[in-house]
Amino acid sequence: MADIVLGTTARRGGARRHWARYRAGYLFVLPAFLLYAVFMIYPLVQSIYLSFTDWNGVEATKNFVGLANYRRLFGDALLRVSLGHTLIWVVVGTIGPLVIGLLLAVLLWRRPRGFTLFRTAFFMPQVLSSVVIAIVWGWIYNPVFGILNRGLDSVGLDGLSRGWLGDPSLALYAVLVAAIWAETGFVFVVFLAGLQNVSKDLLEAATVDGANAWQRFRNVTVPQLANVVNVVTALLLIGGFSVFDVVFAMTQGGPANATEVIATYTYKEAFTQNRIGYAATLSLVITVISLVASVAFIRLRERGES
Amino acid sequence: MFRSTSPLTTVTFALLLALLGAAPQIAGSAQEEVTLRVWDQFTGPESEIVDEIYDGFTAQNPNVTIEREAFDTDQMRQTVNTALASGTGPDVIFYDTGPGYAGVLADAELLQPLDAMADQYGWRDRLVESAIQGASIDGQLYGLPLQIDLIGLYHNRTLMEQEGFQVPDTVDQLLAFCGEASEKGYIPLAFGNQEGWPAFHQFSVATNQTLGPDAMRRLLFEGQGSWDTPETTTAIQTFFVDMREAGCFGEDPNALTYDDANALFYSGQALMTPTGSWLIGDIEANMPDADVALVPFPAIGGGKGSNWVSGLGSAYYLSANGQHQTEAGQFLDYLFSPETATRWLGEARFFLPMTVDTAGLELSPLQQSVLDVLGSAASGQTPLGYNIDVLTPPGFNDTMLNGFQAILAGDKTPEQQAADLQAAWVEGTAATPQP
Amino acid sequence: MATTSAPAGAKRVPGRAAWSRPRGGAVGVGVVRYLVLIAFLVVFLLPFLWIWSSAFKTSIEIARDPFALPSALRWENLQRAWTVGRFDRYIWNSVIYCTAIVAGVVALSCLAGYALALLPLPRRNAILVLFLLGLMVPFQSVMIPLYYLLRDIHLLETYWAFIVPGIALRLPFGIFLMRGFFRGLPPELADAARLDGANEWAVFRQVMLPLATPGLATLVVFQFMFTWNQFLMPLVFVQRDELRPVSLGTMFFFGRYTADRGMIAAGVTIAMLPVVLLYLVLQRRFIEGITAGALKT
Repeated sequence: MADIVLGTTARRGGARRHWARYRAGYLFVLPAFLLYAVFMIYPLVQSIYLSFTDWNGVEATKNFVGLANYRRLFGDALLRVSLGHTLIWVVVGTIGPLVIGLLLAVLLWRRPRGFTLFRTAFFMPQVLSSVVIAIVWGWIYNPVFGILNRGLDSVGLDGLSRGWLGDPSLALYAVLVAAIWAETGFVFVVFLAGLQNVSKDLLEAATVDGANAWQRFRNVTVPQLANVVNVVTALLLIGGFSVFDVVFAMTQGGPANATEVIATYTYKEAFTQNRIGYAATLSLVITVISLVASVAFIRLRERGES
Repeated sequence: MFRSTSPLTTVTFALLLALLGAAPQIAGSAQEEVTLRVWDQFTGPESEIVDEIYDGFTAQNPNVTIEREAFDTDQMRQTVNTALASGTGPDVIFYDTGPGYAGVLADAELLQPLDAMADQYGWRDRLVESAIQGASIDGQLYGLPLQIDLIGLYHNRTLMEQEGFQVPDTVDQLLAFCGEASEKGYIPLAFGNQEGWPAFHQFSVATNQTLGPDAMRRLLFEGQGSWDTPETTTAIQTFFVDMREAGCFGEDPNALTYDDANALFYSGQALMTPTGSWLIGDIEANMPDADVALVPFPAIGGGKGSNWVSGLGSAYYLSANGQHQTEAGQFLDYLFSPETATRWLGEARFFLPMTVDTAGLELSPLQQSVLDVLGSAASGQTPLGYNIDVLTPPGFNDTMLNGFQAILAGDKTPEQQAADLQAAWVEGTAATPQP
Repeated sequence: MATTSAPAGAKRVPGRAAWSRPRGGAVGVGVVRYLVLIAFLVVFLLPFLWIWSSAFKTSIEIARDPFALPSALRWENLQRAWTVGRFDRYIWNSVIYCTAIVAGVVALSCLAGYALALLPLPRRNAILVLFLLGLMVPFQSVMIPLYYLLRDIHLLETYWAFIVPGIALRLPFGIFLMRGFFRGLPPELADAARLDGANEWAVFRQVMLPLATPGLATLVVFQFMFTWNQFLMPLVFVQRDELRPVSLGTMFFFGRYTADRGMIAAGVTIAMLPVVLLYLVLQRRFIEGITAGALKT
């Protein structure tokens, strides 16, 4: 309720009317805003500042080096390698859960017998921490006692068994499989929710018109899921560009940099090599990529909605 | 009207404060009760002995509490920087010596120089000169090395004799042995390189066989020679290509952790394992019934014979940000006192770079064999090669880490690796830390 | 944004949908469907069962036959992981972190989300854009300076090192989620309360907040899961073992006991158990919360 304030001058009256009108709004937003400004906005600005220095984390003065760190980005072979892996990660790590999640959601769409069991199981890996996922899958791939090689051996496919995480051409995909295993449950339940809203009348009509199962799925179901697909894709993409946890916990970027992604590279530069200035620059590379991806996604969605 | 304090947020922060009351008490009266945080790398069976040795200090100094945390080597390397820089990390750390490890920390001013304490306690007289040098950076002493080790080849003599195998003297014999042992269903040589650093030791060993200890010393300490030579290439080719192709390793080394490889040796699935004398305690704890011997790695054709390689293990360092430097200094002095030294050797099976009173100790044959070699080296009779990762700059070690994994995977040639090592050496030594 | 209305399982649907399926080849399709479902069931559950059964085995047993059942129910692995492996401490720390961070995020997000949705506020769009930025940039963007900031204000050796940034960096998500829920409420209810003489706090607390309970539940579930499993932030900011949450503690535990496989399996089992049990008990809440959280921000 707005107080009626009799100001002595117009300006003070304006300020007081302003305060009276907005007081509640200000006070409600303020605690969150302060915390956010100090621990998010300020460090973000600092990241930009640090990227123009060669600071090593210790010295009191931070030497300004201009664009030297940015120039270094272009000649950095390890950055190129890491970006390449990140790109593979984003593509495979998005498509994998999307396809498997959609398949499982469609299979359970009509809630066949055992629905709850299946749903419970498919979502379960989603509640695990990445360290647990990394240890469990590290064991699965273990050449000495891992169940993957033992399983292959026992069904006569011992030609396929190998040191999965030790082979530079396979390691990234081996880690991706673990990540997809964990992430699919999330995509699956979101699709399951999305499918509840797919119009059954339209599907009936398509059936009457003689459309087969694939045509119904492709032309009736998928378009109605477009919004859900968009959201899930965006979440997977944005998470993928900054992926760190499962890679770090499983391979630390090895063997021979075969699983190095930009986030693990940044961590090492910052916190094991003490190259804070350059690491800040690398962190901004991740930031810019994530921002571009997010903005592109928002644009795309707005266009889709209009 | 709207009241400015919201009960909801008040409740939240009251709750937070209540929860934090459960936090461990950190600040205390500084003079009386002192807590030393000690980080080390003893995760094997020796861990309990280390606990007991630390307890010996707190028994003598009842006002000191030791909060010990043991780390896997890799994890310590990844977290020690942030911990020390936080000002809340460990007071004492047991960390690898050399420019690639402790040197990085000293450059970032995270380690405390120990010169004054060394004079006060007489550490320079107690430890051998080479150990003091190995833990010094730019003439300043930073740490006290606990271990001096030999790197060679362990073999399970019980199983070897049972199967009628001879211990190979040359790499050609070793390659032949690998074929025969695999046929009998054994892993000839357990070698795990998932972490990347085990390859450092094997590269050191192989290069010391092709170049010989003298040339290695000139290369490492006097700047004479280079890494992109036929000797280096042959050394890399022998261990990381020929031996892999001859089936010496059984499993893919890149997929096998160092610990898993050791476990294969303990269980008798593998007949040999190439590693250092720091493992003796673990071996004797895990294989009480087997007869195990440690020998130098076989000679490589055209090289300088079969040489032992020796290296400095990790050392105890103090954090530059430690709050209790006096007590930390007393702790170091205790760890390297003659009485404790005897316990390190007798119970933890560690070889200290100092004179240790062995009277009353019952040493195992394996321990005795290492002590004999170290003693003979000290008197100048046995030349020792060098374990290089504790002597080389960080960029060089990175090149070793990724390069050898790539060679084991068949993605890189020994020639390329030798050239890359030389480039990293030139870059790293040019950027030697300035004081 | 347009949102789907009913999260999975919100309505009880009979075992068979009312609309009929085509008959041709229905049996064959059904068999294939179940084969695929069961194959995935194995893929998703086998790792759990393997680790859980390994927790009762010795290291040698694990290496000998990974598929065999444990020869005896050895509880000592679990017991040792709990005490010697310090999982008692790690779990307790995670409870503290989760309680504090979830409470903080929920409280501050409700307040700000409500104001940004329904209260008069100048420069609302500028504020929204600022928070949106936080939704789009990853933790790495602020990780490095934040470490030094927390060090300089001496928070690094306390629980606050994770709690404070843990709350601050999740506010954008919480605020947008809550704002979405509040915007879905009829503003006339608030106006009616105001006419009855309620102040703004009373309007929020007694009228609008109770109506946003589903949103609140969603935020709690989402935030709880996120915080419980958060890894990189505590890795960088929490340096003392007594302060480590279980997500991070598990990694260091793994490093300390790599050779003792039975112990590792037991530790991993303990690390999984609280959140898996909670999930099994509150399954529908979890799934609804995650779904709504994904679709409504």
